Amino acid sequence: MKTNELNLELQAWADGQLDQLDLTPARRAEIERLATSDPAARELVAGLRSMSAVLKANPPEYTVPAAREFYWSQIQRRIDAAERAESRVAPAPGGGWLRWLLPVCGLAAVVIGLALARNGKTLGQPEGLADFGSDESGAVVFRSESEGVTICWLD
Amino acid sequence: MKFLSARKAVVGLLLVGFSLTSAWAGEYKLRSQLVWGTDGEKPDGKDLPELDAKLKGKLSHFRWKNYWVVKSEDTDVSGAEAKKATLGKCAVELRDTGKGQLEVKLFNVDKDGKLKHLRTVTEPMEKLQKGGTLIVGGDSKDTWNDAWMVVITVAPPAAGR
Repeated sequence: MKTNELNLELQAWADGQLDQLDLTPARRAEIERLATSDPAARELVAGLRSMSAVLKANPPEYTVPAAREFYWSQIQRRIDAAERAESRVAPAPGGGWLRWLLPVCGLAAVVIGLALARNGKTLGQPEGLADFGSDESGAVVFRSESEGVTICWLD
Repeated sequence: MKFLSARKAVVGLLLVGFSLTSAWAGEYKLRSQLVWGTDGEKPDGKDLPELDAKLKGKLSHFRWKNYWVVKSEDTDVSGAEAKKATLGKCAVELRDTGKGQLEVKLFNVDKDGKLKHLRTVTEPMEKLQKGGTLIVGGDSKDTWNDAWMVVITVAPPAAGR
């Protein structure tokens, strides 16, 4: 009595998805009858439901869709960025004129950056990863100068 | 006699110049390939070529087993205007900004053929001309654990050129 097609129909019945199959009313009634009265079909349905319950209780582990080096380089990049940010806010040793020089240099860098941006120039990304901060969807960019490859991975 | 030699030299220079110009223009022909990254096998009934081994090596950062080329298109971007390459469900618009940068706009193509802008990426032309590769991709929304990516490289010179 078991065929692959029938097994799939019984599985759909067990999952409550029989309506999604293109079956005639008579065939649907037949499947329902088998699922509730035929011993072999009932056994199959019970097994499928049991497996479904086990899977729901124990979701599979998902693997990161990227190579280990790519994944860890993202983390390394973020750590480096965080460390650079911390070093920028740390008080300058020596004080005095340095306290004035740093803001002036920062302002000059901002002005130069704005000027370049207005000219449509793109500042080169350093080797590694960087976030594309924009109003578009998120993305991570990975550049390897040695391999001559740039990867922009969209979220 | 001297006049003839000078004229030959000028013609020769012109020919050399023309050849160099043609070669340079050829370098602006880019190849956009829609690549499907998967651990699964090639689907039945679809004659999808495998990605070139050299390019496959550049995808070593990823861990998928197979990379099938779904569609490939060469585009001449030597002019200032943007050129579009349609790659099935997505499309890219390529433009030489004239400032040494290639601007790549990525679009999603819906069932009605309407384009939805997803992302704009820029890449130095020089890097591509030196054999570099630009890859714009993401996880597949249709099949879990698969990915799609648009791989952009300089197109190899046509056979017989």
